[in-house]
Amino acid sequence: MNHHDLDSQLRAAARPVPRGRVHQAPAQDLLERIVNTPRAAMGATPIGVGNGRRGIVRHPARWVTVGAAAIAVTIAALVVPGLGGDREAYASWSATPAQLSADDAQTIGRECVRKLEPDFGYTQADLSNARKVIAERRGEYGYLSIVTKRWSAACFRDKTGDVQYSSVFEGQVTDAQLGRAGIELQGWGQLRTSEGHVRIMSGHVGSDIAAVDVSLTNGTTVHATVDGGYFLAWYPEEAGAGAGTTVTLHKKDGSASTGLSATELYDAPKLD
Amino acid sequence: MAGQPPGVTPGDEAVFRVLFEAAYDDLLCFVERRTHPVAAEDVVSEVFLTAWRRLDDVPVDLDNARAWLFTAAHHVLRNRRRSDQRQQALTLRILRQPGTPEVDVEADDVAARVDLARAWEQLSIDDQHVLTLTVFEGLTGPQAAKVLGVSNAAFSLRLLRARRRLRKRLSDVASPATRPATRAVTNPGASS
Repeated sequence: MNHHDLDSQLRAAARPVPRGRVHQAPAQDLLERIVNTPRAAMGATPIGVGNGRRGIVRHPARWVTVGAAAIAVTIAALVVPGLGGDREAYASWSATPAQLSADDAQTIGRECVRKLEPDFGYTQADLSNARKVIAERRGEYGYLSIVTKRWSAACFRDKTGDVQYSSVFEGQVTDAQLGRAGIELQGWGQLRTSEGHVRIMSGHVGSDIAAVDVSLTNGTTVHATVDGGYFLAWYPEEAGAGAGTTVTLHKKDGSASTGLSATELYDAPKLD
Repeated sequence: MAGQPPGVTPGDEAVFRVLFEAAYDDLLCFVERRTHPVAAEDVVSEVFLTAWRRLDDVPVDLDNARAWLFTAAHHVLRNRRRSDQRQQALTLRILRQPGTPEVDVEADDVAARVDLARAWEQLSIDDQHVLTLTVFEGLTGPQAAKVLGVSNAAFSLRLLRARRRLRKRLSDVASPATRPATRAVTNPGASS
């Protein structure tokens, strides 16, 4: 039995499904609800969904923007920090994080939740009652992760001051499930700014974890901010890249777990 | 139209309506294969809402737009599974693409269908995923690889192995009515 025969038999054995459910009331109601919803927060890339080609045919007015974005990505691929080049895009980025001021963290957090609210119903009260807000600064850029009992989200402020959110995540594992040396990668997405794409990461680690490093395929090691069992890091990255990125967990006793695949960690947490 | 919500142009709405009309049935079927039917419409709703808000990121041609929606649905389902294990389908339902006619004479044999259904249920969920993306959802290798977040080469290998294992399971479960024909083409040592 060749592949074609096998595939044909599988299709024949499958249960039939009627076509035309799109014309039934639930689908039509959904359609009307959606098109009457504002298209808010259009800067962030959805979780795990790569960027498709932009609407060249459908949105001719945006064609210039599309071209500019494509050029920005190309430049970022050539001159991202740590890779040499003229260090134009994200030039102030550093592999080691610095502290973000409390005022900046508050500003970014509020703006981020303001953008999350229409999409997800998250509120400023959620932010006020957050379990953890972990923040860092790398050059001109501010980045933080808001962790509440119900959800977490990553918020990034670029050098123009624009705040975008990404990696909205629900269904976190508990501290007990995570254990002393586990890790849950809650954020693993890409955002696009005027300088090109960045990879943003955030997550939860066990109580024995003292430091987290991210190893990129180009040899760069990015040191994450770790605070109170949570961590975050970001770095410039070409759109769609990320395969081969690994995470190292450094424990308080000096031992380390190395070579943990970021994509696999995002699929399933490593529980201790 | 009397008025559009903020940030919406008539062109956006027209484009989205075309996409919705063309892809709704397929997306609903994609989700129904992977989760409880009660939850399927919620997932479809979430995916289309994402597509609406990220319309600029949705590929222009329908084929790739469909794959984009499937990728988004895959991530929504994964997120939901992690928050509620009860929503995880133990096996992927083998549902035809909407509207596909029931015509294959040879495969119309009831015993063969039962055997295939039993063999299918014995496959791992990962094998069912790769086969479903290719056989039922008709994605190309690169499109399917993107849905699962793996390389093209890795997907090809997974598909090859899944087909081998399905043949092996089919051989193992074949009913008397179908056993001779199935055995005649199956190498018992071929499974990976």
